[in-house]
Formats: sequence, structure tokens, C-alpha cells
Amino acid sequence: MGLRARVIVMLVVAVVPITAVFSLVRVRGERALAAERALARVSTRIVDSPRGERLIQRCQRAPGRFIVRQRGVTIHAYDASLAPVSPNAPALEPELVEALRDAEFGEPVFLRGWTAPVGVSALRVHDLGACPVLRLQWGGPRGPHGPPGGLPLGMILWQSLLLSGVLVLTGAGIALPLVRRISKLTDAVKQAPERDWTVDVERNSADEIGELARAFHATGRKVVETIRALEERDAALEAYVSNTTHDLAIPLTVLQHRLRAAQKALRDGEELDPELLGVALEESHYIGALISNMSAAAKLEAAQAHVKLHEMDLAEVVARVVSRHEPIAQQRDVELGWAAPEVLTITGDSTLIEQACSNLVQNAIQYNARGGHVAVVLEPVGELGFELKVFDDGPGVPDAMLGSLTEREVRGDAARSRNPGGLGFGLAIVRKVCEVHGFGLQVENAPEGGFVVVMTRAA
Amino acid sequence: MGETRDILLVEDDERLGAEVHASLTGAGYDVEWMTSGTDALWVEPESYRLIILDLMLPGQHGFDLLKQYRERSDVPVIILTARKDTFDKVRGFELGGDDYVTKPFWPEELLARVSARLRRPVMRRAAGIAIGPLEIDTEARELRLDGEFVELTKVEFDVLAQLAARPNMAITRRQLVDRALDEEREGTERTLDVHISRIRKKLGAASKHLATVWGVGYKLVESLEDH
Repeated sequence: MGLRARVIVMLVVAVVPITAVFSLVRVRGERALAAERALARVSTRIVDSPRGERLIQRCQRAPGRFIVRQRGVTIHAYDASLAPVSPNAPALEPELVEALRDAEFGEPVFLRGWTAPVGVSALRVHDLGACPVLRLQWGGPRGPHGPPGGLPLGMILWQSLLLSGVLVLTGAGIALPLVRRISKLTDAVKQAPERDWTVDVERNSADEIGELARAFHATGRKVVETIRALEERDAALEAYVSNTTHDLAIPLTVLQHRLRAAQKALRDGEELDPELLGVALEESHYIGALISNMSAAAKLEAAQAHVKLHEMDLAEVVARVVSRHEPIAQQRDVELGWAAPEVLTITGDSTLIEQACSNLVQNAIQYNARGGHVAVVLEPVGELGFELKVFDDGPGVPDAMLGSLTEREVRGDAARSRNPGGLGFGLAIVRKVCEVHGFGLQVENAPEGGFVVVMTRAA
Repeated sequence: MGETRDILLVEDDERLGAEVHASLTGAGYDVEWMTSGTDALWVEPESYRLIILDLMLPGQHGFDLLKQYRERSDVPVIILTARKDTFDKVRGFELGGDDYVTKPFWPEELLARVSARLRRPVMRRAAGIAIGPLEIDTEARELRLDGEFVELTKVEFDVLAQLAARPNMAITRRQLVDRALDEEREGTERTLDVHISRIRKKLGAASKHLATVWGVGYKLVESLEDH
């Protein structure tokens, strides 16, 4: 059942009986009051006026036939023991008997209570002889409405219906517009997915419905954000996969060629030139570096970079990185020297930092000539800082390119090539890692030739 | 309890395991190679000097094995993993791993980590350090070459002592200047170079043990075949 129907049903079911009862009570109360007033007047007249005297005398002369009906009031008489004097008179109600005990002469006592008939009273008029007590019963206002003493049902019905009608209209007038507003809001919420998850209805209302509308709207915004973040991540992942496939293809092909050539040479009984395999070695090293970089890039490019900070030993990372690149340095006839303290503790994501250091060393070796030198020096600065310097005596980087190396997004095809322009990709990772950790990064061509990269953290 | 073997290798991939086994035995180590994680659960870690543990094993995750081993022993464990997740690394160390090597790796890389873990401490005699033909007595402040006493100035000895404190490791020029040179005289790196060349002259043929490291500084090398 909808809210509207429920509101109306409840109003009718609740209001009608309530107003009926209310009316009943009111009417009865009014009648009781009217009765008491009338009876009080009559009692006064009986006691104080000559007519009253004559009435009592009549009773005393012929008690057995005494009954008075005047102006809607019926009077019966009772003797000293409160028994009816005339056989037609009703017995005196016990409550009246009780009340009469303490009653003064001439003071009427009334039958009261919800269950008692309206308009019954008793009166002690004298205590000499017959008819000391009278019982007065009010027959109700004269009129055509029902028998005397009965309830005016017609009037009650009228009043109830009128009151009910007013209450139902008022209730409906308040509730139904609210229901309509909720209905409209519901429609707006249902249509939200097509409207970019916005809910425009009721946004400015000050009440609870307005709050509900604003809450829906806020939720809608969050949904939009989440969808966008997920789409971004999807796009990044797609790009990652496609780039990886593309970039691995080249060195892998070289590898395949070299291995095939080596196999052929051996099969033909030719002298195997170690250099042949030297190149294969370099290509596979490059592939390994590429895979690591791709994985770091994916982490860093995600909507929220996945960085896990923890206490780590930077000196140990440097030692590890150098040891990883020694074979390839030897292969390329490049001397790789390094120095670091025994321990240098910092807070950082060790995987990302290791990747950054690895890229710096890799670049220094890769872009150097045979017989060249690379140095990796880590030194503490003050209590909490450090300086990591990676430099070589290679050809350096054309000054024109230095600027672009500091660019954030180095995702273009050129960046990932092995040529000096390709320096950019590894450095882009280094830059991002430094950003994420709050490290400083400087790159420059050394005055005496060669390239210098310095990664720092202030003390 | 049998004799102690050098290395336990737990790696399920046949080809990779064979390569690593070959490279380790080629370097002179005595290696036991297991391919099953469940089998590896039952070994006695104390019967090895070093354990190399792959993480992704069928039937038993490497971390669970590591926990088991750590309950019974402090034997050094090197974790092999293809995953570069920092979370995994931190977890590995928390569970008691000593070192890790990520795939792909060159044979030399693993060998370097293995020898670092199994490193025999440089021979120290009393207060002295022996490097090749050189004996440096830091207490008496004496240098002996092939047993023969060699005369060194105070500064020259200090420089040599700094280098001998971390054999085979390069020490930066700046550090040598800071720690060994006379503060009052405000030595510079130029001065240091001069001292080094004097020391080399005194060492004669053994001067090859005092190597220059381009861009960094100097180091004392034990074995001349190094590099």
C-alpha cells in the first residue's frame, strides 16, 4: 500500500472513531450540566416558593398517587426510610441514599458518574410526616430529537462527521504534499544513472527530505569519482601491458638472433666469439631492467601511487644495486666503483628506491664508452639526511635535452628507446620516486665531462 | 644428524634450479637441491650453513617454510622471489629472512649475496688486520710487509688504518681527509693523494693492494684477482 493510501486510511480509521467518542463525551457532559442546572432551579423553587409548598401538601394528602410531571422534570416522593411512597415510583438509587445522609435540607444531590443516567437528583425537603424526600428526574430538553432522556444520535453523528472531515483534510493537507515530494525525489534518484549520477530535485530544501536529496547527490558524486578512478587505472594497466609488449619485443628479437647465431656457429664447428654472447647478455640485462621499470611505473602511475613506507637501509640497497650491475659493467668494460657507510637508515619504499638507484646506475653504464668509469657514492648528511651521487665520464647528455629530462611524463615512444633520448624513461621513474619520498634530485653535465645525478634528502 | 652441508636450495622450477645449482657448485659450494616445498618442511635447518628459499612453491608457500625454519634455527636464509612487492619484502624480513634476490638475476648476483652471508671474517690477529702480505697492527701502530717492518708517518698510518678497517670497500676521499688527515693543517684531497702515493712507494710490489677507485677514493683489496 502506498504512503498516500496509508495516510488516508489511517486518518479515517483513527479520526472518525476518535471524533465520535469525543463528541459523545462532550454531548453527555453538556447534558449533565444542563440537567443539573435545571434540577437545581426546580429544587430551589420547591423549597422556597408557595407552589413548592402546595406540591408537598399534595403529596402529604395523597402519597399513594403522588407523581408530578412538569417542564420535563418528573418528581417522585419517598418516606423517612427512603422507600417509595407511591407504587409506581422507582426505588431510590443507592448512591443517592448514600449522598442524602449528609445532605442539608433543600440541597439537591445528584447522581454522578459515567454509567449513571443523566439528570437524576434527590432532595430532602422536611422531616415532618410524609414525603420528606423527593426524587427529581430531568427528561431532557424538549424537542423533536429522540425520546426524552435519550442521546441525540443525529446531532452526534453530524458533529463527528464534520470534525472528522476537518481533521482528515488537515492531515491530508500536511501529509500528502510530503508524500508527493518523496515521490518526486524517488523518480529523480531512479533517473540519476542516466544523468551522470546527479540528483537535482529538492537540493535546496531545508528539511529532512532536502537532506536526503543532498545525501543522494553526494553519493552520486562519489560513484562518479570511483568510476573515473577505476577507468584511469584500467587505462594505465592497458597502456602498461601494451608498452611492455612493444618494448620487450626488440631486445628479445636481438637475443633470439644472437643465440641462434651462436648455436649455428657451434654446430658448424666455428670458433665462438664470446662477444656474440656478450651482446646477448646485454640484451637480457636490458630486458630485466625494462620489466622492473614497467612494474615500478605501473605502481607510480596508478590513481594513488602504491607506496609502502618503512624503515630501510639505503646503504644496503646501494650495495645490492651495484652488485646487480657489476656483471654488465664488466661486460661493457666499464669500471663500477662505489662507497657507502656501513648502515644508513631512512624511511621509504625500498622497492621503488631500489628501482630508482638501479636506473641511475644502469643509465651511467649504458651511456658510457668502453673503458669508462662510473662512481656511486652515498654519504650521510647530518642526522637524517643523505646524498647519493651517481656520476660517470661518459659523453653526458646534450644540453638541449637536459630540460626535457626534468619533465614529469616521459611516456612517449622516444623515451623508451635505447638511444640517449631513452634516458628519459628511467629518469622519469627516478623523478617520480623522489617526488613521492620528498627527495631532491639534480641532473647536470659535469664540468670536466660526463653526467652527474644527485639524489638528496635534507638533514 | 649428518654432516653440515653448505647450502640448501629450495626451488621448484627444474631449469632455474639446475642453473642455480650449477652456478653454486661451480663456485665451490656443496649444495642440496629440493624441488618440493612439502619435502623441505621436514629438513633440519641446522644441518646447513645457508638456505636459499623460493617463495612460490607448490604445496607450501615459502613464508610458511621460513616460519618453520625460524622456530628451530637461526641459519641465514636468502629469499628468491619474482615479486618486487615491498609488502612481501617487509614481510619476508619480519618472518626472519636475512636477504632477498629478485628474479631475474645474474649468477654473480646470487653468488655475491651468498658469499656476503657466509663471509669468513677477515683474519684479525689481536689488534691487527691481515690483508694479503700486509699486517696492520692498530695498537702498536705498525705495518709489516711480508713480516718486515715498514716505516710510516703518523698520517700515513692513519690513512692505511682507515682503509684496513673496511677491507675491499672503497672509502671516499672526503672521509679519509676528515678522519686521517691532520685537522690543524687543514688537509685537502690533494694532500691525501700525495700521502697515498708515498704509501704506495713504501709498499713496493704490494702497492697494488691499495687500489684507486675512480670518482670515489681508495680501497685495500685482499685478492689481486678481484675485478
